[in-house]
Amino acid sequence: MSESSGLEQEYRRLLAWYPRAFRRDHADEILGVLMASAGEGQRRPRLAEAADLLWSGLKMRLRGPAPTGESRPWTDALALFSLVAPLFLLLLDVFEVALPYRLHPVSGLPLLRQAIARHPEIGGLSMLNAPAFDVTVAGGVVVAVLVLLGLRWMALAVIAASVVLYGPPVLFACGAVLAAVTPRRSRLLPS
Amino acid sequence: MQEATFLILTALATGSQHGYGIITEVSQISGGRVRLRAGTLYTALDRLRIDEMIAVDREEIVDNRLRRYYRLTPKGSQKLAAEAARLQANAAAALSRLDLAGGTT
Repeated sequence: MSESSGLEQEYRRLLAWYPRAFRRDHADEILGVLMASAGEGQRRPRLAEAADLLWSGLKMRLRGPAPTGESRPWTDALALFSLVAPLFLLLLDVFEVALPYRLHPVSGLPLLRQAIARHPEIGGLSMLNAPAFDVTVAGGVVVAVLVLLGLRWMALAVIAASVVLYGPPVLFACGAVLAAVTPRRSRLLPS
Repeated sequence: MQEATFLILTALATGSQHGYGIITEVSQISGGRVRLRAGTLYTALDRLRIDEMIAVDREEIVDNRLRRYYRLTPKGSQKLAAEAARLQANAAAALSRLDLAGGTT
């Protein structure tokens, strides 16, 4: 009996990859199926099974929640914002940090000139800083993916880690992420 | 329509089934070739429910565990019949063409 409950714990941990709403409705049901499929004396999930759960969970997160039937203008607006905000943050990273660094001041784009004016150190050619900029953009990609998957705490953790590198803009990023994932996406939006 | 989806709908064609029942039924229908994993099964069930091709029939508690039974909706039956007809037409075309080719060589 203790063996099977250990296995159940392992399965429960894997189910954490599913969206919360889906877990609430289906976790016990899926656990029943998993335990019924488990072999005699099996103590750990099989690798293929674990990979299938992880993959399915992430896929379900990308798919978004089932329609709840309540669609109001503000839920739609927030849902749209939750899609746009992470992508906007990513673009911001690229335009403010990576491009000015790569293209340097001669570029005619006023946006880039402004960005460089605000961060003169970025316009410099110090090669030492190059990895930091790549990290910023990579971080932007990671945050965007995490937010779109609805893994908001992981996204916040990544942003918090970047506080070490950059100051105030990070607060804006935190706000955007928190606001963005609060209502989750509605089914009304193309997925 | 993906094969897994097709087989799940086929499993439900004769009556409502719960998750594990669908897995064993699908395995049987496919001659043991397709063994659905729980994650895949519930991703498909969720999609089918949203598309209103299946619906929850009833819930039971067996051995302290929740069992949810699913059934085909009229829309699900219709889609399954259409897909089955399409596959049958394709298969018939393939077989008759192979026959023709076999006749000339």
